[in-house]
Amino acid sequence: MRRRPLLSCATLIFLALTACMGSPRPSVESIRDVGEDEIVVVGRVELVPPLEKGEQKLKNMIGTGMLRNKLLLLTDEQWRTFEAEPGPGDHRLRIEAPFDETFFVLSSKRPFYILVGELWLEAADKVYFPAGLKVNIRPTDRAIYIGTLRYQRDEFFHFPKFQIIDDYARAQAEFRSKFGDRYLLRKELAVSVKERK
Amino acid sequence: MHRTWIMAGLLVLLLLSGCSAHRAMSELDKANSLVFGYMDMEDSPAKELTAFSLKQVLPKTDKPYWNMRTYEGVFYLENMPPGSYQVNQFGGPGGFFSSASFYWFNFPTQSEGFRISNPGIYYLGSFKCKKAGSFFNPKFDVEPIKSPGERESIEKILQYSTGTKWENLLQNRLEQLGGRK
Repeated sequence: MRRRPLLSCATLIFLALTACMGSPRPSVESIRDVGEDEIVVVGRVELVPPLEKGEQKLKNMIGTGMLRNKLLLLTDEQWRTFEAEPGPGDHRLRIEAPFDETFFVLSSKRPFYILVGELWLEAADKVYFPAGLKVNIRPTDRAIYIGTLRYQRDEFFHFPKFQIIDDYARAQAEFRSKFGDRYLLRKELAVSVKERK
Repeated sequence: MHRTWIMAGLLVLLLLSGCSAHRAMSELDKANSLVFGYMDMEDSPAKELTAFSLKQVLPKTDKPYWNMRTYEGVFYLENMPPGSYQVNQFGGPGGFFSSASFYWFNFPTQSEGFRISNPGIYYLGSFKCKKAGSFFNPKFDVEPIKSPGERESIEKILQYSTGTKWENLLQNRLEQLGGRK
């Protein structure tokens, strides 16, 4: 009984926060939705071992579809690091990447950075995934494949291993089945900010 | 008059025994462990450490929080089963002129963890809670300290293990560390 006001409070805070986050990079369902100055960014996020049932406690909370079994990849056209927890303004242009599913999102043709990954476990409980990646885009691109971001985790949500896996063949097959073979999906794996030239 | 003094004395005794009762360790049960550490609260807004909790990460459970006993900065709990744990929260009461009656400090979800694989005595380390941030955005930092260390921490809590199998285990550990026997 005593937990109810706390839960309601957490739910209200959660709703306020998610409302301030702004829109994510839109998911692309048809190539006709892609403007001349835009591209489709294709990629995937894997968590090893995957989330267990009940690890994300967002049940019965309004508006949690954007968070359930998804990693929010916070992106920006300028590279920066976070001294503190990212605020709602840092969530604009995020990629809502469902675990173990290929995502197809709209982007401008300007290169961007994947700053950090954010996973909501509860209304007031988030964990952060390392990223620090640059996505290079050419003016001639219509679609690029940035790779599979594979995170190996332990029980404390520490990440002993983080890799960018080249699974282009699968991504290309899914891209063709979704958009046809008229457009080229160029492989441009995301690179660590430390490695960029 | 005499009776009043006797009653008052009994009351004080009762209160004192009440205070120490929650510090007394229960008998070693199964193949479990004793976990302890030290938190210096001198630079924190709380005047002393009176609460410290751990979160059980593995095996998964509906009741993952373990409230530890505290005494003079030492946090400890006996009979902890094997598993993976993270430091979760600690706190203490504010002083007379303080703006809050109780201060809680939460560790982030991805804070350091430890695993109890074999039964034994686990020392998590000694730390100091320090104020950080600003008046408008208060924060806290926890940094490791060397003193008081494991030996001094055991010496503080040894009295609460009297008559249990923990007493022997703690005495042996003290001897290994070069302390009293």
